[in-house]
Amino acid sequence: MSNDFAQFQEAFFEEAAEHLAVVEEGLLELEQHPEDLDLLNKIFRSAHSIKGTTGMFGFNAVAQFTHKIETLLDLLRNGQKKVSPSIADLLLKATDCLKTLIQSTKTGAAIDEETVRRLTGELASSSASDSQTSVVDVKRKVAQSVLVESGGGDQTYVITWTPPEWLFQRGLDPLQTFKELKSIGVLTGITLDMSRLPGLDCIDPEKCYLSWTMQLTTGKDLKVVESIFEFIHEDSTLSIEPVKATGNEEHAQEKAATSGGNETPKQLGQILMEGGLVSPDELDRALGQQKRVGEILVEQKVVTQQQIEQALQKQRQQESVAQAKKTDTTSIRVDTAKIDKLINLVGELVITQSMLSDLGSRFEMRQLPVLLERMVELERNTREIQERVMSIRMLPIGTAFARFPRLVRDLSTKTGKKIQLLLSGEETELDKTVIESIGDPLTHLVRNSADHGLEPPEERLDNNKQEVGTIRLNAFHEGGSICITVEDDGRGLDRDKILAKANKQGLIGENDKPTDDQLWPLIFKPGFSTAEKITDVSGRGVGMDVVKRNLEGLGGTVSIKTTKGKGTTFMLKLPLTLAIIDGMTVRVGTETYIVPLLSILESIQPKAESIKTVVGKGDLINVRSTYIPIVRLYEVFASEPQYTDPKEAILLILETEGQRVAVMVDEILGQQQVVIKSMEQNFHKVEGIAGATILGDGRVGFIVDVRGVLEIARHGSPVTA
Amino acid sequence: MGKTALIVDDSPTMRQMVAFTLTNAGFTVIEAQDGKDAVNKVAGGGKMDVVVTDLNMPEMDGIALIKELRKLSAFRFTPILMLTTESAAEKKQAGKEAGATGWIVKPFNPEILLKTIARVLPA
Repeated sequence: MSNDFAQFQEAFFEEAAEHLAVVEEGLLELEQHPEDLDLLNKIFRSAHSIKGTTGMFGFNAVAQFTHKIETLLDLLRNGQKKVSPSIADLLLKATDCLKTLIQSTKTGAAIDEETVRRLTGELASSSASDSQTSVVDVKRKVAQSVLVESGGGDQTYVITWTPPEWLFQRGLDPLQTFKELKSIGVLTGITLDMSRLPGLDCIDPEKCYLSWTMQLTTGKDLKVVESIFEFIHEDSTLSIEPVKATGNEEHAQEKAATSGGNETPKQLGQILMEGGLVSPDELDRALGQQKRVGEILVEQKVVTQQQIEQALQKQRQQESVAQAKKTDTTSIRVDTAKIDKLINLVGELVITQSMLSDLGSRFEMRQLPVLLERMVELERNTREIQERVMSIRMLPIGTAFARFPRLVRDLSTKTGKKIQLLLSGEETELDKTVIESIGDPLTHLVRNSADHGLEPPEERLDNNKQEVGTIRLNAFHEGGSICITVEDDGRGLDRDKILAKANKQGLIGENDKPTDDQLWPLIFKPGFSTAEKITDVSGRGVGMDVVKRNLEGLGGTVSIKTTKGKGTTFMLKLPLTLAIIDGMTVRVGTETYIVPLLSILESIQPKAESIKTVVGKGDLINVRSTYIPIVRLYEVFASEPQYTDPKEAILLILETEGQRVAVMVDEILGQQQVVIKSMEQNFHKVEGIAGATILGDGRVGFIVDVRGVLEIARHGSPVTA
Repeated sequence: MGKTALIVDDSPTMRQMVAFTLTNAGFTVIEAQDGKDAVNKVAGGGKMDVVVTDLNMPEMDGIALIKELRKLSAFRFTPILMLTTESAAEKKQAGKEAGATGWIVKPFNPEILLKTIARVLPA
């Protein structure tokens, strides 16, 4: 019934997420300030909003569950209940549950009925008084509003109505009522009772002194007639009496019953079956004989079997695309001011363009300075538009930080440590995609700090530290990147432990003396954990390697600073956006490729003696006594090179995920920022290529996917062009 | 034609839904995100044909807004409908005392919304 509003669902999910965040943050704060009424009101309002809007989309389960939360919040707000840790805990759990409920309405995932039921029970018992009634009430109201226009015979009612004197002051107008009555039937015998009208001297023109009696003949239900007086019924003296029974009542009721559900009409088979005319078996058999459109068309030789197959294939594709779209759509909310500014800039661009084309149509050499000036203008416009468009995708990182107060609270309870979380730089903006992907790595790091970094309170006191440990999250811009630091004031990394573990795992030889900078990154190796016992929180050695991999996937890096006994700082460095990268342009034959600058360690022109050929492994290059496999880019992409001998060419030493590879190219052309165009969207995925870009001269250049190239080098399977 | 409606709701989704329905029905729609915003938007003496307001809002709630609007000469007799989540009697009563013309109970569909507005809209 509310399908017309379906197009607003996406907006709703976004809004609901915001409200959920407000509720969650509010509840956490409420634990610190249980008496804060403003805060309670804020939480209540958000819960209330979720309930109201979910109802609009027919998500009744969600609405009912939210209602339970709201009821409890209302009691807290009115002071009938006190905020206790157990209530706060229950509300937080309920909020989590609500989150998954809303998620499941979006994705269609199954609901954890058990949890919902248990929490519903707990909420209800915490709210003491029953709250079931009002939800039922809402439902009944809806049913009532649906149940209109049920036909039946005409019925005549005598209506006597004395509205309250202050009718007009509420913006009500009796004329409207008469109009609406007229619209549903025939209004006759209207008599006006002016007996209450005072003398002219004491009449108040803003008051209503009148009463009416009238007859209404209508095919509509009494309920419909009553509903016209809905807003004024309780305050008026009103009687609506049927004149005579029509004998059609039963019929009318039956109609109301069938139309009440507002269902789609039944199928023929179902009606026949209900009437007992056919058995379910007979029906199934009959349906089984029914031919599909395709079969019929083939029989009639309108189309061939093959054509049908193709069409079906197409249908399936469309279906799966439609399905994918459904789950994939994401949207972004943009400040109107940003859009206005952008439109303004586009306007300026159009002006510059028209000035340029005007100039071009009758150009003379002496106008060259003017042309150059216009070009400068054009460049400025373009750059500003680019910046603005980028800024549309930029969101404050605060949204990614928002989950941490809760996480730290839970971690603090689980580990028995006292932890305070300090956030700063929340307003730092970065790309939406980056924000969405940064959450998990950050969570791992915060967990790690809470579990391994910070010491238990007793140990901290013994070491003359404050009992409460601190985790600090900070974000700031640095050049074209954004830096996020996760800092704790705990025990710091233990050099001896890490070294011992590294020796044990054979990552470092017994007699090696690695520097700190060489040693610390080892904790990002898969399976590397020095925690003595595996805790609920972390210590399984999965996590840190995932952090590193995720960050590299985003084109970022992570570094560690640590002082024993003082604490550890993890510093994440990320590009502001994924759409533009810093690249090194290189040439192979006539082709130009772009190598992401971040992955280039160095570039060298090798000497003959540093190149070794190993059977089955291809060429290796000795770089300061480390052997690195050489990958010939022309082999990978099957192009025609200028040089085939590494001695003449240039080798770029690239690193990804701790693996190194020397990529052979003809020439390095320079460094530039390139805009990534997706291969998957415009063509299809090509191994070893991360995307394409348009070069300054208008040609297409491919962006090398370092990881993919490494993969190809390892398996020795160049792509077929 | 060319009626104007003022929609007051702190939920952008709700606001959009109501605005969408009314715009399609030929209304010129002014949106406000809470009571205070609404009062500011009509402070210049703007007249509306109908006001639809949510009750639970930050800054200034729906009841307070209705009281404020009724103080303005331009809104003395303007129909004001409130959006309520439940048919809670005390809410309706409070609304009526503040001067609300009527109410629409959430959840509602576009049809009910337009019908209710038509019920109170002066010809």
